Amino acid sequence: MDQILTPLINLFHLQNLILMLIGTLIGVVVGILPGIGASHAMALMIPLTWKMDAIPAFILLTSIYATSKFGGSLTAILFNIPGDNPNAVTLIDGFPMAKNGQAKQAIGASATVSIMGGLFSSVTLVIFMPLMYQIILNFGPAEFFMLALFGLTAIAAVSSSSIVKGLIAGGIGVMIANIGYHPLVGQARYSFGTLYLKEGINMVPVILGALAMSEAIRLWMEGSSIAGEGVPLVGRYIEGVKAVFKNMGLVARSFLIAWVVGVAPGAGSTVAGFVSYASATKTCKNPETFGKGDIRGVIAGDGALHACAGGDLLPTLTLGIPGSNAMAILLGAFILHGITPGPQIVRLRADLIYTIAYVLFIAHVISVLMAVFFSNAMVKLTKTRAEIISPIIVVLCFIGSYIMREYWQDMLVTTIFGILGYYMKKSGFHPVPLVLGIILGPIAEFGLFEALSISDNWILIFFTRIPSLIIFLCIVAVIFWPYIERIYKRPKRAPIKT
Amino acid sequence: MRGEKGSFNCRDFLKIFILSAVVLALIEGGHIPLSFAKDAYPSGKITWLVPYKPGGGYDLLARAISPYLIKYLRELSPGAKGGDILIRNEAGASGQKAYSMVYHARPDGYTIGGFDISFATETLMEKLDFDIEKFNFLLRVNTTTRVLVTNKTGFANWEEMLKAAKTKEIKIGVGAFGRAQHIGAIIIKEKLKLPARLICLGGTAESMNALLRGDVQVSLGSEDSLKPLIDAGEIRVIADFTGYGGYPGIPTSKDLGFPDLGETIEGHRFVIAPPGLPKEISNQLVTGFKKAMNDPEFQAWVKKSDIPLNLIFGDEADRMAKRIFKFYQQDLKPILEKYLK
Repeated sequence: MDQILTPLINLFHLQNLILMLIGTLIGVVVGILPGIGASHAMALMIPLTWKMDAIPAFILLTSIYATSKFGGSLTAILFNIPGDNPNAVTLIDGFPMAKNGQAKQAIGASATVSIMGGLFSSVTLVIFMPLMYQIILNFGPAEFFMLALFGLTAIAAVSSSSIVKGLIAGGIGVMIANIGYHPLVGQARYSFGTLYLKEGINMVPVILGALAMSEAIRLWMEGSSIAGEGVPLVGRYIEGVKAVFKNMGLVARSFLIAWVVGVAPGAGSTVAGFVSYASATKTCKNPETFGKGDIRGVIAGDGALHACAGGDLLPTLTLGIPGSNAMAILLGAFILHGITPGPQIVRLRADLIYTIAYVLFIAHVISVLMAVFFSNAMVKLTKTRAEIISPIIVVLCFIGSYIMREYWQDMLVTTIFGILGYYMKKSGFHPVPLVLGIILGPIAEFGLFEALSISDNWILIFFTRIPSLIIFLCIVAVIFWPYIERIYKRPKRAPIKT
Repeated sequence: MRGEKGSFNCRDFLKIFILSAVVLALIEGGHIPLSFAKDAYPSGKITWLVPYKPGGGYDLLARAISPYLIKYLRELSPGAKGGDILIRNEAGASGQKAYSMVYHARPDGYTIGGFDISFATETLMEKLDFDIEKFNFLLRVNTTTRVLVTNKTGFANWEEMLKAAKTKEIKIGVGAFGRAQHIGAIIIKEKLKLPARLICLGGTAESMNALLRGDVQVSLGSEDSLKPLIDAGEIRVIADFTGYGGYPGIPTSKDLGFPDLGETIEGHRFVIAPPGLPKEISNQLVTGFKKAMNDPEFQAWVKKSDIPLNLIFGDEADRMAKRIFKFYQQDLKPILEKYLK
């Protein structure tokens, strides 16, 4: 009991509390700024943590990591600008809600699942640490491939008007993701000898262009505000909170998906968010409202994002295997402080593990309070005229795409996809499938390639590995569930009276 | 094209964008110097281009040594006002971007970079826009030694692995194609005539995942990266190519009949400067690094963080790098081309 309570008490010492507040503020701010993720902020903080003891250092770094996603959700909902890649799922329903004047409900729902997700992350981190080795044995390239396919089924969800158009957009996204150096075959594809293309088209400029800039262009062309003319700003944050508690089954499913996906090193919160969203569109009633401002879309996507943190940390802490850039930086911080991640860390540094778990939850609560405080003013921006808001969005998109790698070509990519995204929407193509293709395409390709390499090109590996088969059956179930439900609920014919 | 409100149209939007892009391109590509005064070196910011993502061993080392390097560079040059070091991570295209940036930078001492010797094989795979042999190798920072590992339920020892390999090719998990682990595994396979299939898995993390799952039977990796799992007993060393024999009972390169094998597959990381760097600046940088590396505070950090250093400075580092290039690009060329092309 002492092992559990002492880290919690220490967390509220003045120095640690200040560090957690600073880390949370940094996390929310970098989350709001497009193109800058938690990994950038954590990398900048590393030199500052050298002279600190391990516990305060990890309070600061974990706070940044835990809270950046909620800041990104705010801009995704209000301006169709995902703060980081994982937030792309938030805007599918979040932004239409803002256009309908319901931004506060969306933010309220996102805030609630953020806190609940933080708590879920903390608890699962502590409970499952001793079991990590067994868990990781079950996630291989075949499972990654299936998970990516699961996420890609969300294409159908957001392409309700035309599945064919959705598939075309998704296919274009996958093709764009193929450009660049492939670490499994050692060749740069479609690079035309240029260093820029050898690195590949980064997904951030594409996402900012296709989703955010295209929307700014649309607002400019139509001369309207985000929440259209004649659309009042209605609702309160509390309605979003209530909506979460009305959909606890959906919340539970999202958290479970997030945990399963998060634990697989390399899958990450982006995959978790889209898999959860895809699952929600197939298992919830009245799925035709998804993509048009259904609060359940925000709950499903954001719930998975925030519940993922614990699963993300597990392989890094227990095996020293980082699954993302942010985790790689955290691993570096461990080395810097003379701590060796591995199975023995639970026994040797239980105080650190419990501190991280507590920070995952408490930082989420603080970040939500901070962000909701900022969001009051930000919500009013949804009624701002296009002449003012569109250039601001465009400038933010350029900053976000440039700041990542300092390539002017990334700004060109953002512009190209901004214009493309605008005309795609006009022609009935939703840009989200393109984004899905870019994000999930490489994961699917790597999974396929690696699975076939290790199995001597035996295609049945995807169906003979139990976890992969389970995910495949889940894909089949969610795709065919609406049809099964229709048959099951078909009214029985009354017997003919003779 | 637009509603009746406002007169700004799509053409205006494109004009503004193109103008902004041209301005930014000039700023990015123009390298317009802000001052032509000849001050004592260093009089400005030094950019250190790290060809890895943030958080790795080399990145941490660069960030840790920077304050000490600044201190000693200024001491060596009374009146020098600059010398702040900016670490820039440029991991793009497997570090190629960083190397290209260093190569094409002005040789004035204000741009240095990291260099991983395994990149030498890149010249066998594609044409580069720079010549790696023309870099100035200022110092070698550390050496990455290799071990061959299996998981805790895998082969009991080297002999058991050989016996299994005679029946069916064993699968060796390695990192990205053409990179250090892959090259090392190729050399081991060819020298020892090992019946094995090399499975490229993207990186050390993916390789270890595959090993723990049993998807590959053995894996070649750097000892530093694998230490946590070795210490925890999750993986076991079955061949020790480190050269210092830290695993009693485990065959070393010498035991396997190839005493130089470990050295051949070692990784080396350097600090480099652009070609044509004046000798006096090169010497000043080397001396600054020497003093910084020996600083007692920095040494204490090295001990605490357990990041190994294996330092060689100046001309010796330069000769070593060139020797390894010759080995990869000439001596090993026939073997490597078989696997890499």
